[in-house]
Order: sequence, then C-alpha cells, then structure tokens
Amino acid sequence: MDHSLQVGMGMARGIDRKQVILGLFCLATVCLLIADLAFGPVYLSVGDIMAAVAGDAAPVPQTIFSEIRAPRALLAITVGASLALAGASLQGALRNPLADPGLIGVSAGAAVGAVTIIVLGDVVFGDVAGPTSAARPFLLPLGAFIGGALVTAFVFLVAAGPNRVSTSTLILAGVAVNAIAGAFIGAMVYVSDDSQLRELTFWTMGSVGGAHWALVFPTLALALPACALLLFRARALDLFQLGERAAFHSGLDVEREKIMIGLMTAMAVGAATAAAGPIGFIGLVAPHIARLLTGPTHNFILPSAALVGAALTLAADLTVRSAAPPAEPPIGLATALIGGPFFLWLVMRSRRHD
Amino acid sequence: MIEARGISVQFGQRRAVDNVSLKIMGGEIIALCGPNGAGKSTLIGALTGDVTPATGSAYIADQEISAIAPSKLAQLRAVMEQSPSLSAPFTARELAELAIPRDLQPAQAATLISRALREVGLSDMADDPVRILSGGQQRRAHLARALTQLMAGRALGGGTALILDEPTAGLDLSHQITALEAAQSAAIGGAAVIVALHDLNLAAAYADRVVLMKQGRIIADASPRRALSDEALSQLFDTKMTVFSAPNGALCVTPELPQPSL
Repeated sequence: MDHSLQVGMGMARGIDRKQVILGLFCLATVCLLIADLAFGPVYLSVGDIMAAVAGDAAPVPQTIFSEIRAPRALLAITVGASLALAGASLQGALRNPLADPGLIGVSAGAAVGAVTIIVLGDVVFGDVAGPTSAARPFLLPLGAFIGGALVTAFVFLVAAGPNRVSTSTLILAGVAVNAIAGAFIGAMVYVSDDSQLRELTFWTMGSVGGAHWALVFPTLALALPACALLLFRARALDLFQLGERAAFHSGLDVEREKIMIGLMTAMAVGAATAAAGPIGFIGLVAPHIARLLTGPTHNFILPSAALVGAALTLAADLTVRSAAPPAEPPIGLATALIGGPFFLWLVMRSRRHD
Repeated sequence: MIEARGISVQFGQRRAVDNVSLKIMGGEIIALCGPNGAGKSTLIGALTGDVTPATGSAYIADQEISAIAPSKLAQLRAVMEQSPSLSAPFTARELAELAIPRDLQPAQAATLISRALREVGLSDMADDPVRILSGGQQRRAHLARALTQLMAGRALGGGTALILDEPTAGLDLSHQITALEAAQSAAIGGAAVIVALHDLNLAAAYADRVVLMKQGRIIADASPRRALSDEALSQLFDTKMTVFSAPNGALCVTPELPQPSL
C-alpha cells in the first residue's frame, strides 16, 4: 500500500474515532437528560415524559414536567454547557490549562452583585427588593449579571493598552479583582443578619433548583448566542496555540478575537452564574475531559466540552436531588465528586500512555 | 514586492531601527545579517506588521501593511518566527493545517501541506505530535507551516513574500541547507524572500543580496561578493574577519581563530 494512502486512512480512522466519542457524549447527555426528567419525588416514565412534551399527559405529571423538571433540566444543560464552553475558550485563548471562567473575575463580580442584592437590596431599593417582594427572584440574577458584566469590563479596561490587550495583565487583574470581591463578600457576610446569611450561603453554593421559566428564558437568551459564537471560534483557538504573534502571522485578528472571546465568555458565565449561582469545577474540568478524549483541535474540543459540561451538570443535579430527599446538598459538591475522580482517572490513563 | 520606506522603530529610549529603507522584489532572496541587537528582528517585525513604526511605513504589493486586515495579510506574506512555539500537542500535519485559510479547498490544502512537509524532510513524521520531535525537527515543522501558508496564499492570488527569522538556528548542517533550499524554491516561485541569518557562508551561498545591519541602520546592501568584505565585516562584528574563495568556489567568511591543535 502506498504511503499517502496509508496516511489518508490513518487520518480517516482518527476522525472516525473522534466522531464516535462526540456521539457518545451526545448519547450520555440525552440519557442523563431523560433521567433528570424522570427521577424525583414522583417518578415520570419515559411514556409520561413523551406525553408531557406533547402537552397531553395527565394533569399531575404534566405540571411536574412543565413547571419543575423541564425548566430545571434545561437550566442545568444551559449552565453546564456555558461554563464548559467558556472554560474551553479561555484555556485556549490564554494558553493556560488552569484557566477557568472565574479567572477573569466574572464569577466574583456576579457574586458581588448577588450578595449586594441579598444584603443591601432592601436598604438601597426599599421594598422592591425586600425578601417578600415579587421582584426579588429577578433582582438577584439581574444583580449578579450586572456585577459580572461590570467586573469583566473593568478587568479588560485594566489590561487594554494602546494597541493590544495584555493577556498576563488580564490574568493578574482577574486575580486582584477576585481578592477584592472576596473581601467585599466577607464584609457583607459580617454585616448580614441570620436570614440573609442563609440566603447568601445557599446562593454561593450554587443550584439549579430555583429554575422556573421566567428565569430560564432570559438565561437562554443571553447564554445561547454567546455559546453559539464561542462554538465558531475553533480555528481562532487553534491558532492561539502558536502564541499571539504567530497567530497574527497566520491571519488571525488577535485583538478582535481576544475581546470577542472575553465578552462571550463573560456573557455565558454571567448568565449561568446569575441563574444558578457559582458552580465550580465544570468550567475547569469539562474542557480537559473533552481534550483528553478528542485530541487537541478545537473543532472537537468545543462541542465535546459543551456536551460534557451539560452531562456533568445534569448528573450532579440528579445526584443532589436523589441523595437525601427532600434536602438538596449544593450542586458544586456533586460536580466535584462526580467529575473529580473521572478526571483523575483520565489524567492517570494519559500518563500511562505517554 | 515588499518594502520598508524610511522606517524607524523606538522602544522607550532606544531606537531599534533607525530610518531604514529596503526593497525586495519578487523572486529575490535577501539575507539580513548583523550582530545580536542590530535591529534585524525589529525590522522584520515592521515588515510582518507586528511592530508599528514610529516613522515611515512598510508596504507589500504596493499596499501599506498597517492598513491590510490580518487575514488578507496572511495571504500576502508568510512568516517563520525566531522562536516559534506551540502549546497544544498538534501533529506536524495539524500544525501546517493552521496556515490554511478558510477559502482554500480541502483537497488542495492537503496537497500543499504534504508538499511543504516533504520540502522540509518531515514526510515520515507528519502524523507525530510536534512535541515529541527534536528541537531541529520542531523548527522544520514550523518552517513547513510558513511554506504551506505561502503556497496557500499564492493559490489565492497572494504569496508575495516569505519572511524567515533565523530559520537555520539549531538545525544540523544538511537541514540548514534544506531550509535555505526551501527559501530558494519560494523565490523561484515568485516570492520576495527575507532571511535573517547568522551564518555568513550560507548567506553568501543563497542570497541575491546581503543586507548588513548595525545599531539599527543598514550599513551595506549589495551582492554577497560586494557586501561581504574583510573591512565591512571586521567593523560590523568588532572582530578581525577574513573573506576568501574556497576551492569549490564558495565564498567563505571566517573570524580570526586560534590554530587547531595537531
């Protein structure tokens, strides 16, 4: 067999394998989605779910599906995919495998916004933001989103020079902003009363339990376009692996891409954090799982990471809901408990292959 | 054609390039030589579009480089950086694929990539991760990326210039020749080729013109035999240099060195 033909077949096999893995991620996400819809205090069979999707299930399963499980599952998928895509994009653009969406301060800013609303809301906005106000469920995510957006804008302004955004300054500014936000949150914790403290603690643990359509739709409206635009950045992220100068030599508008990726990341993570609180680990680990299984090119990393993030969040949500009902441990515990060992296994496996 | 017109580049207090004008026509190879810190890489930076000159402008195919969009510029000129890097475990083939613009047909792209890898002698290692290759092989993989970009640019109506910043650093003798022969075939294909080189013997052998730089200025720009004289080189490197013709006809440059022991 001649050499080029062998190489051609080798490439074809490689692509097939990646496509199979992508397909498996898809399948896993769909299975977990069905499980997340089916299990809970009331079990819904696949038949119930099918009927409920069509809108003609019995009243009780229909309500459970439409008002509780569907928005919850949809929020879990959105949050997981957003965090994972944001993490994959930042790791790629910053050439830093430890980058996670929290790095440039989005999560910290969102936490500051949320904590401000919880602790100072009724002082600043009066009864509109009081604990019993009807606007309260929306003010909290809104505050979180604005906080995330402001902090990201600030970090980018600090890092922007006359001609270029400096990546190392971006990371350093993110670290500083995280520290300042931590101090501010600490101060707010110190002055908060017991019920505020409880709300605050629960928010910072993260949960998709508060999902309802009025929260899910705005989250989708922000996260979906951001995720779609990040999915199209595969070539740019591949080129970033050459370093910024060589990426420019290869035709990339480096500054435009950095700003684009920064903004889309902030939008996706801001929306996710606003709706579900800060959920750690997914943004860091889902991209690595994707990379370890599908190789270094971003046309496979990005969709795989989004699917792994969604699957991981669904699995975590299912776990915390089923662990000790009706209590719900924070979802961050489960993302770390499920994703952590799996990730370690992958890392050890890849060490053995070296 | 690629051209510098009265370019000066300022880094803080230091003037790295001082009022330099240089023109390289299609089909021509120039070797850019001079001591460390002479301004070679900065001048190259101005010609690639990395560095914005304080005064003067750089032009490629009669357009001002700073006014050309990065994607368009990539079709006009290909660059191999002085210290290329790669943070992901791409294979040599995937590395070369990075140089392929979106508009090129995949089949044509695959042909160009294979050709570039063959030119740098990496056909057998095309599907190995660049990370596990030797230092010299890694540089050749990056050279293949630059050659791919030049050929792809030419296929799309560009391919005006090839700019190589010390492409031979770290390569064994035979692959130094491989690298420069690749530069030569790019010139034969019509590209204006700029090569920063420390090896004056190779510069003499492959360049149509040798451009000598010192302290940000061009002090000579002529054919190898005219530019590489004992006096000019001794002054350039502050070391006594001797230029002579070897028995095989090659122009040789050597500094005053101790006699080898018996």
